[in-house]
Amino acid sequence: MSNYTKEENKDFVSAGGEVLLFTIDNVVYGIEIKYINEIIGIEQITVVPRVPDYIKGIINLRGKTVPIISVRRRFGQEEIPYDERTCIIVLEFENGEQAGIIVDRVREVTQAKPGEICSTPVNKNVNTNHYIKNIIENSEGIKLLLNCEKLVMEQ
Amino acid sequence: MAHFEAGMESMIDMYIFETTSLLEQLDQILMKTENENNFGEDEINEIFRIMHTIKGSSAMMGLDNMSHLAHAIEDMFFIVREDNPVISDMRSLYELVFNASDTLKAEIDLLQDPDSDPTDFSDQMTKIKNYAAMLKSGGTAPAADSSSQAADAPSEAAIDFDPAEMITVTTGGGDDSTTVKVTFEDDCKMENLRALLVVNNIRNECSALSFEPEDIEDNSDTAKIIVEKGFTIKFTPAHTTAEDIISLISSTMNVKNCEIISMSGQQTAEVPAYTLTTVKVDFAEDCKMENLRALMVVNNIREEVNQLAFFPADIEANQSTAEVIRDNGFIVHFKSDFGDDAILRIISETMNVASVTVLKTGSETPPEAPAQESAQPSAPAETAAPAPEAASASAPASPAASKPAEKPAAEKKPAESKAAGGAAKQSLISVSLYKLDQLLDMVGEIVITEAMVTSNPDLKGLRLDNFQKAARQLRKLNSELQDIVMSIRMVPISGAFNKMTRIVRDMKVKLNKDVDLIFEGEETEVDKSIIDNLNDPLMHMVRNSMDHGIEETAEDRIAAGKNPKGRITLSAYSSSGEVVIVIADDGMGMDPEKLLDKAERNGILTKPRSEYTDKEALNLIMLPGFSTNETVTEFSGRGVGMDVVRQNIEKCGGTVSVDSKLGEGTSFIIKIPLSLSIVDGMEVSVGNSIFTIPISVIKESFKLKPNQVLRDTDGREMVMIRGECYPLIRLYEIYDLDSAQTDLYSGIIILVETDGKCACLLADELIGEQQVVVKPFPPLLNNFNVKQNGMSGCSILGDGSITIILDVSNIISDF
Repeated sequence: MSNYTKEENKDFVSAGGEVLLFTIDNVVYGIEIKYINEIIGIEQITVVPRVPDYIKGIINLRGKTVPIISVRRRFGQEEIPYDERTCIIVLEFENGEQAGIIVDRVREVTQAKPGEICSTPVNKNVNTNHYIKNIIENSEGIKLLLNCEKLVMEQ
Repeated sequence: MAHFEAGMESMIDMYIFETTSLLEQLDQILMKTENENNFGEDEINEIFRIMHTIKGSSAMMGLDNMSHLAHAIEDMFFIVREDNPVISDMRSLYELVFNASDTLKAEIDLLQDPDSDPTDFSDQMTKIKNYAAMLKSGGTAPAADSSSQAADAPSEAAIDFDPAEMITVTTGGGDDSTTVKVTFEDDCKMENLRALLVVNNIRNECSALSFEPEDIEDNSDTAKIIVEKGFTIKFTPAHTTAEDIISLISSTMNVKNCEIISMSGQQTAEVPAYTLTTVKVDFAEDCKMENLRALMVVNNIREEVNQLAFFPADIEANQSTAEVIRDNGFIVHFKSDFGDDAILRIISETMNVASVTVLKTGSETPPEAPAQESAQPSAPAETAAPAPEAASASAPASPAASKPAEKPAAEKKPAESKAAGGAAKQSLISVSLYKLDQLLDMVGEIVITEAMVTSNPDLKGLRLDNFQKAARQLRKLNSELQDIVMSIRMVPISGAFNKMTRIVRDMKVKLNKDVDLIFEGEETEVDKSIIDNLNDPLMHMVRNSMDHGIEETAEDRIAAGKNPKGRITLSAYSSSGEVVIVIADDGMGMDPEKLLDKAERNGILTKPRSEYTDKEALNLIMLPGFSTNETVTEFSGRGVGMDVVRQNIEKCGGTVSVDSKLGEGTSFIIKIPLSLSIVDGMEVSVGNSIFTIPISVIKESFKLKPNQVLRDTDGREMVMIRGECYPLIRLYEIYDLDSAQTDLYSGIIILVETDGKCACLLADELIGEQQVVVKPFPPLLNNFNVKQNGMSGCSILGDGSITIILDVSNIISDF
């Protein structure tokens, strides 16, 4: 399912790169900048029946239909009402497929230096660990780098 | 390794398209003649022409292997045509040609892969040459163990008798042949075969050709002689100059030196110009490489005419002649025993020829105008190039022929050529499918935008008579535009059907079953993209019918009281926005019980066996991993076929079902929407969602009265309308939607019918009728089987919101 390869990840771990930070439930997550297509506010989402509950529906992004995923639901958390800071981050994958994820608020783009990136502990008990590719730790705190392919595509 | 000569890349598409269609033509001719078990003269000529064109264009593209294979077949048919031998072994003739056609097709597929190497066809060519040799020798097969080389000799000899090459006897006398001595690089080995390569290279360019030593092909000792004495070739150039041929020889592999022993004395016969017919050939605009196209014309008619000259003459060697031809047309002078009309037809049928204008018809009596001789010196510019012509139309004579002919016509010419251009201009063009797709997308966008404008929220509550009038006009034009774009994309289904004849034919031979393939309604038109998706499913189903459907032997059929000859019918017709394609055989049929047995064993039953209806049991064969055939054959039995069929058909929005009667036969019924992209829909709201139901399935909509509702013992609701009872489906219930109208009597009931099944859908309210452009769901959602849940696609409405298009037949059968 995932077209993400270990080698690419090695590149990121050894070379670092830009990461977009956002928060959900006051936890800081990051996504590699190469996946980010754009960030938009909450739009009217058309519900698609009979799909898993973390898929909120589809939106019309300039004539293209883009599925929207609630990260909170995906992580098994309660959803909160959308406010003016709620955003949809539109991700684009290598195969051109797009998907939007709903996050509480977007923070900033930061440079992750090679030394700050470490891998995740092998721990089956943590639910979210599944979607986390790396952990970035520096003076500003800890950020969890998400594996976008798994987050979006894995069933 | 790159397949093509440099600079040919731009021609690849054209070449592939042309050659593929020619090969398809070839298959059809073969199939036809095989059925009639007789080669008519027309068919042989047609095959000949096809092979000739493939040979020519392949050589043009630098695809020598394909060119040579085509050449071998051409030779074989040349023997068939000229000698009219009693062909005792028709079957192997067909096998050979079919095989060759297949290999050529496969090679064309390979071309699209830049990394592949050209395939070596020498085995096949040997077989063909052997067969040709056999034909030549009067139908007695060469000894089985005779080496291919020995067998080659007679067929090679046959090539030398090509009519074009026979007419070397120049009428004017004098020797116009050139003799050269070729020496090969030291130690290149097998000099005899190298020499053969040289000979083959120039053969097509020469009208007469002899060489010393002669038996280079079957006598390897000649290699020594060549090393010692060199290889002597005597040739007469056909349509190029001797220099060109010499340069061709020198450029052949391993040739070290090409020494001219005697050069042609430019002596050529003078043919009275008035005896020749002069025509001007114009090529399709933008066909590129007009000089090579012209060469193809020349090659095509060469064998049919006695005398031939053309201008510009050095079309083969001189690229810049392309421009001359583009500007002035290509002038051909010829005289033929077959009559001018036949030749004109050949010319005009040549690929990319846009129009042929007869400038002058040849006659036996000289015209009164004595201008001929005097015209000759008046054409100094043109006399330089033309080569001595094999057809003995001399170099000075050819421009002379054109000049006087054109002069009287000079005043008339502009008007005439304009008229001729208008009448004879190609009325067909081929357009890349990509552009059509773009056009269709664009029309879709226009439809959406039109809705955005005409139902703009800013207009609400305003009374705008003129605006409404203009909007109606716009809508009318848009829908016409849509129809036209759709019709452009429509192609008759016969193309897909015809491919099946070949499959049936092959399987008939291999399975030893006698089967008729019958077409009905093959002129039915469907969207091009659907045809492309149809080929594979059709092939699978026809194979299935051949392999499993039709009884093993004729005896079985006779015992069952049927015609010993099996029958497979492919029929197509359109009904209410759908195309229905039926593949029916009159074979054994399927036994639902057996299917259920098998399914039970494979563990793919999803409910108790007793609950399966016959129809459901039959449809089990569409499931992955289901094959009733115990043994896997070359054609079917792996249990992937029908599964793939279903997927392919569903990909283009269609459905496939099976109908079978044990002992009487099986039919597969495919239903595909006529066009994929724009649907007339009724928008209905359910809660906060808007769904679109295709108008074509809606019978009526109404509000319920309390006495119309019934409940069965399971609590399922039914609606009674005019004495008919229909199941009631609450949309909000099946889709689990909040805040919808749950009161039966406040909501609206929509009665829908599809595939002969009806149901009532409960929605909140009708919003309105609108044309919507179907967009596929994002691939991510397809992972969740949305299509199996009664949703066929989505669409963007004028206000930017999204509506989901319902697949009513799915809803009825699943809920």
